[in-house]
Amino acid sequence: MKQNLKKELKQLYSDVPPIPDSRKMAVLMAQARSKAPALPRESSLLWFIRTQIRFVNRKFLLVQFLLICLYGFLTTAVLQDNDAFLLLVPFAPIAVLLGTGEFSRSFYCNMTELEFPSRFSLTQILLARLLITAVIDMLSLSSMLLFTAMKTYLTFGSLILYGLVPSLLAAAGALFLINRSRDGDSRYYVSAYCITLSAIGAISLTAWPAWYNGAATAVWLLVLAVSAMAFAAEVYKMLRDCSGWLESAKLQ
Amino acid sequence: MELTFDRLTKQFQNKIAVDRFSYTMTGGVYGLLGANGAGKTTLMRMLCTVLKPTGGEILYNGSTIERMGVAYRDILGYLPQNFGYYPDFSARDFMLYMASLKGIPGHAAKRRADELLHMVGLSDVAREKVGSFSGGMKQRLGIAQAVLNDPKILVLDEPTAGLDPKERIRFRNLISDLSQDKIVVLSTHIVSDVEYISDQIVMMKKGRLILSGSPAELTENAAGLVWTLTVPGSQVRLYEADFYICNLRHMGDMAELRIVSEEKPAPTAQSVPANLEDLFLYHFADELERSNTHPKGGAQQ
Repeated sequence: MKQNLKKELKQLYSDVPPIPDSRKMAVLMAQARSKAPALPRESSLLWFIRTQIRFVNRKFLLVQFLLICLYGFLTTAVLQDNDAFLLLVPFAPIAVLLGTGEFSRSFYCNMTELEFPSRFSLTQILLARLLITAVIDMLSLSSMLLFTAMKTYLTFGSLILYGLVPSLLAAAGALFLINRSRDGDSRYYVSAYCITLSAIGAISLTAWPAWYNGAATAVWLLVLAVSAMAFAAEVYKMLRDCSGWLESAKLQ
Repeated sequence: MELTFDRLTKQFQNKIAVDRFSYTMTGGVYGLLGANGAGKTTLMRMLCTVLKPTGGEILYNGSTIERMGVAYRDILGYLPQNFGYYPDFSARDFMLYMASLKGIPGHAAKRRADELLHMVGLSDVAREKVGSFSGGMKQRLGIAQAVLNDPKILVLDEPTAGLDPKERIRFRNLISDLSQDKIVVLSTHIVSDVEYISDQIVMMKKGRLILSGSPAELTENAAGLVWTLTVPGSQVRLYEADFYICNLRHMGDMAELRIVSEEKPAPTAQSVPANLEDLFLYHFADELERSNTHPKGGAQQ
């Protein structure tokens, strides 16, 4: 009986698992970690642009929508038929101002340093935002043009000119300011510039009506060409500056 | 896994921020210690490809990080000293946005963001706006975004700045948890932050590497530099004028001084083992003095 008990205990002792070996455990953990599936990665710019749509500030979209609603209300319900185009010139820079705020928020929200060392570069981030805001701004401008076209004697070509020129002037000037002051203050400069442009547009309608005569079309076309070139040059400068290193942006 | 700094230099107009910095890092936590303006942030920005070196290069496993481009940024996690946030983003939005920049697609991004928010203790406030977060919560969110892509190199610039003691301890533990199979480079001017979690300490002064080694090695090498001495309270000022005093304790009429000095400050002084704080004071006392109005009082701080 005693012998049997001894035998059973001996058996039990021999079945006890070995004391954990920390070195072997570390090797096992390392092997387990290496077996863990790697995170999937996307590198297509199209995918990236698509994903950025969901990060567009909803307030920006709401304010753009309210601006169009206000424009539509004033044009169709308040203004006289022939005066409908009066709002286009001062409203276009405001729509651009909203878009610029969304586009350049990396700078004034101090996010550049965090965004820069990522798989998608700051250039690609800005490019994606530029495309998204440009599409939204163009939709706003098109809506304004449609509202205006319903109530004015002017040709659609003239309306496009009166809508595009203030928009491009606002966009080129805003980018010029952002490119030279990439910090929190840039939005104040841009706001001041766009509001001034809008005010000049509003005043010009009554103070300088000759600006809107058929004879002035050539000047409008010239300003359109110059502002389009300035806009393209500023976009190029911004993308080039942010492509390599972040030396040009003010780092805190 | 090897990260090599080879005569790395950065010059801003007339100021040399980093001066021929050469060092090699393998796995583990590296604490970059130096007074304000020592060049830590500039070094980290070059490590994260944010700034271009004026001279020298950084190599990861033998390849320059500049040439590696996206492949390098894929294995990099970075928490800058002063990072911003978009005010309309919730913590989860912020994580998903950062995941999109790192190229992590939809479902994987959501899973990883939730996992990390849970890990840093922010899952309860994941849907709240980042703007309403305390400094500590923002820092935890910052570190969560830095490890989204499971980086091999994790760079944390002054991660504990502005945190209360409880948050700092929590943060240190978090970094220790995250440091496996990684090179973690952590900069700070708070000695106790690196003392407990760093495998290696790298001391920088005026852009240069002045000292490196494990905390134990560094303090062992500083043997014979630290003294304790009990003097009458009226004599404290005399010692303050001649020596760097890293601790002062009043005991009635007497005062116990902890002095950092190469020479024995008084016949009754007793040599005691040095700690990292003593070593920091020994090397940076002159810079601390410059940044404070009181000549030696600054050293005490």
